[in-house]
Amino acid sequence: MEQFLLVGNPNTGKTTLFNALTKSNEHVGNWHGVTVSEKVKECKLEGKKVLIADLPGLYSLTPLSFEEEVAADFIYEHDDKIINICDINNLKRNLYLTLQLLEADKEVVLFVNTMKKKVSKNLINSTEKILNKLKINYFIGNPNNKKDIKLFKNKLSEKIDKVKLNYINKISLENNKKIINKLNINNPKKAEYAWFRALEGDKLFFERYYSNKLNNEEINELNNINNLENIVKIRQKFIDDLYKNETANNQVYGYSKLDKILLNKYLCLPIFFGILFLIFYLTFFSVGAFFSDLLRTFIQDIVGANLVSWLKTFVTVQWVVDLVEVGIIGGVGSLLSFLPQIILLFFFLSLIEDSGYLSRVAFMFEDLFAKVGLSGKSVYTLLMGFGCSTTAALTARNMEDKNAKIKTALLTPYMSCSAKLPIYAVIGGAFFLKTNVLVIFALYLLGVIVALTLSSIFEKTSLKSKEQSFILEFPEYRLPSFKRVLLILWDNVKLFLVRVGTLLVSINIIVWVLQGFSFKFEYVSCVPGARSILEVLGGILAPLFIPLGFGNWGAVSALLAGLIAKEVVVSSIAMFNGVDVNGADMKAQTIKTIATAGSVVCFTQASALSFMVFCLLYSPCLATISVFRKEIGKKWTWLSILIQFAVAYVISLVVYQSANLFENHGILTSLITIFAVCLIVFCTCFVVKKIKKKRLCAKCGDCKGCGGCNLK
Amino acid sequence: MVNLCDVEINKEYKIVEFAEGPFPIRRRLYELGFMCGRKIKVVKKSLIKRTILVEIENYLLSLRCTVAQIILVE
Repeated sequence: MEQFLLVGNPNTGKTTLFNALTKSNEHVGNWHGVTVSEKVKECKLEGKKVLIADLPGLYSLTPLSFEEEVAADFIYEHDDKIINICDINNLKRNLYLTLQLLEADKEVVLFVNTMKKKVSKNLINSTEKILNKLKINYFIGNPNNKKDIKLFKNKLSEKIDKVKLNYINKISLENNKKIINKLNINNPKKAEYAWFRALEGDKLFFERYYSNKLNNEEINELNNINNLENIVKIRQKFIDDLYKNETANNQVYGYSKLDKILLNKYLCLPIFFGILFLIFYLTFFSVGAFFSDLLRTFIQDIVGANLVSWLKTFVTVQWVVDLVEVGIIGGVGSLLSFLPQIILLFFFLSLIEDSGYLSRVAFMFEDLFAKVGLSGKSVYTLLMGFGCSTTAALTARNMEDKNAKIKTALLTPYMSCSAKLPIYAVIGGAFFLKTNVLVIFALYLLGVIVALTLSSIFEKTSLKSKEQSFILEFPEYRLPSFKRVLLILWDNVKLFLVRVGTLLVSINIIVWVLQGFSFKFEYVSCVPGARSILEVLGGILAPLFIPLGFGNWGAVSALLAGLIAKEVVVSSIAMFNGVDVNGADMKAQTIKTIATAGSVVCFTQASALSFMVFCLLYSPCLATISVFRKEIGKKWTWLSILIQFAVAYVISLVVYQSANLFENHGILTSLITIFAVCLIVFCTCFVVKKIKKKRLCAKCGDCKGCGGCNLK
Repeated sequence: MVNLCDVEINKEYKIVEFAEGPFPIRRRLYELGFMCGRKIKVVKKSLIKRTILVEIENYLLSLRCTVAQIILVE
C-alpha cells in the first residue's frame, strides 16, 4: 500500500493533521517530544486506501535528540512520498527542512498550516508567491477544517512534481569524496542522502548505518565545519532569494502582551506559585475532595455493603468475606477515591501544556535547573510528579540527554505524589491541627529542596549531563481547545488506570493477606494471639527505626506496605489500631488512636514529624519502580532505592532528634547542638572535597589554573 | 562585536560571526535560522541572566547563555 510520511518541525500540527486524515485520536501536545515514535494508520483517499505515518517533529534531517533520530531514520529507510507540514507564520525556518528533503530527492507535497481559522490575506498571498517560485506542490489550509482536509486529500491523489534545486550541482565535496566512494552505496537516492549527511557532518548517521564500512578516523573526519558552513550559506541564499521581493511579515509569532506580565521579572514566580496553589486547592480540597468522597461512599456504602451482605448469605468462611470486603472492595474503593484528584491534576497540567504556558514555566526555571544539571524541559515531568510519580516517570522518556533523563526520573518521587497526602493529613492532623497546612507545605518544600540537592550532587559525580542546548520554541498562547485537552487527559488517565490502578488493587489484596494471615496460614482475627506475617516482618525491622522515633512494628509494617503502594499506609495503621477501615469516619478515628499512648501504633509530635518526612523521602510505590526499571535500567533502579532509603533515614533521624531536642531541652541547647553537628558535617565535607580534588586533576595541582583539564 | 548574552534588551542586532563551539550545537543554530547577516533581538533575559529569549526571523526561541555565547552580533 502506498505510504505517506508526515514530516515537519515540532508543533506545526502534524498530529492534528494525522488525526484529521486518519480519523484517529492521537495525543496532540503543545510540548516538545509528545509524539515519541512513529504511528501508522490507514487513510481513505478517493477510491484507494493509503497509509499515513505520523513522525516526531524534527528541525533537520541531522537529528539532535532521540525522537528526532526516530524520525530521521524513518525518512531514510522509507522511500515514500512526504507530506511536509509547515507553519505559515514560520515558513522561512520550516523551509530549511523542506530543502533538505528536496536535496534527498524525495517527493514532497507541502501542507502549509494556517494554525488559526482566519489568516490575513496578505500573508496567504505572499506565501503563495514564494511557494510558486519554489515550484513545489503545496496546499494552504487548516487541519481542523473539514473542507480543507477534503481538498487536501484530493491533492494527495494527484501526481507530485519533483522539484529540482539549482544549487545541487554547484556543491563540491572534495574532502569527503573518498569516504563516500568507499561506501559504494548502490541505491542512488540513498547515496545522495548519505552525501548530504556527510556535508553536514552527521557523524551519528554513519555510525548507525555504515559503521562496518568506515573506521572511526574516517567518521571523525566528517566533522568539517567548512563543509557545513558552505552548504548552509547556499541554502540560506536560496531561501533569501525566494523571499527577496516579499514584504516583511512584521508580526512576531509567539510574542504577546500576555508574556509581558507572565514573564515579568517580579511577577513571574508569584504568578506561577499562585496558579500552583489554586490548582492544589481545587484538586485536594474543594472540587477534588467532593468527588473523592462521593466515589468512596458509592463504592463502599452502596456497592460494597450490598455485595457483602449478599455474599454473607451463603459464604460462612470469615476470611473470604473479609477478603472481598476489605481486600477487594476496599482496594477498589481507595483507588477510585483517588481518581478524581488524579484526573483534576492531569486536567490542569494539560491546560498548562495546551495553552502554551508550559514553555514559559520552563524558561523561568531554566536557570535554577541548569545549576543542578537538569534542563527546563524537566518541568513537565516534575510537575506531574505532584500527581502521580508513575505517570510522571513515564513522561521522562522525552529527554534528550540520557543522564538528564535518569536524573529527572530519579527526582520525580521527591515531588510528593498525591497518594502521600492522606498520610500527612491523618498523621500530621493528629498533632498539628490547624497548623497542619503549614506543616504539609513545609514537607512539599522539603521534597523539592532534597530533589534539587540530590540533582546537583549527581551532576558533580556520576550523572554529568553533556552540554544540553535547551533550545525551546515559544509557541503562541492559545485558548486550550476542549477536544485537545480531553484527549491529553484521556491519554494520561488511561495510562494511570492501566499501569497504576491494576497494581494498586492487586497489591491491596496482597497486603491484606499479609496482615490477615500468620506464617502458619491461620486467619489472625479468628485465632487469638496469632501474629500476622506483616506484624512479624515489621517487628524484625522495628528496632532499626527506634532512633527515628517510630520503632514499633505497626508503623514499620505500614511503611513496608507503603513500599508497595502509598495509599495503603493510612489504612494499614487504621487496621492495626482496630479502626473499621470501611467506616465513614475512618480518618477521624485513626487520628484519635494515634494520638493516644496505648494504641498499637502511636506517635508523639516529634515522631509524627519524622514519620511523615520518612514517608516523603523513601522509595516510591512499586508501580513507579517498575517504570524506572524499564526507563532507566536495573542498575540505577536499585541504586535509587538505596539512595532513597539512606536519604530518608538520615533526614528523618535529624528531624526526630532536633524536634525532640526542641521539645525536651528548650531552644538554646538545641540550637547549640545543631550548630555543633553542622560544624562536624561541614569539616567532613571539606576534607572529602580536598581529597577529591587531588584525585581528579592528575595533571596539575590546582583545578582553576589548568587549561587542559576537561573536568569542571 | 559582542556575544548574544551581553547585548541590550529590545535592541536589534545583526549576526556577524560564530565563535568556537560544539559542532552539533552550531549545526542546530544554523538549522534554526541563526545565520550570518540575519537580524536578531533579545526580548527577555532570565532572572540571573543565564537564559535568554530571542526573536529571530519573526519567532521566539529561548536559549541558554552557554549556547548563545557562540553567536556574535553587532
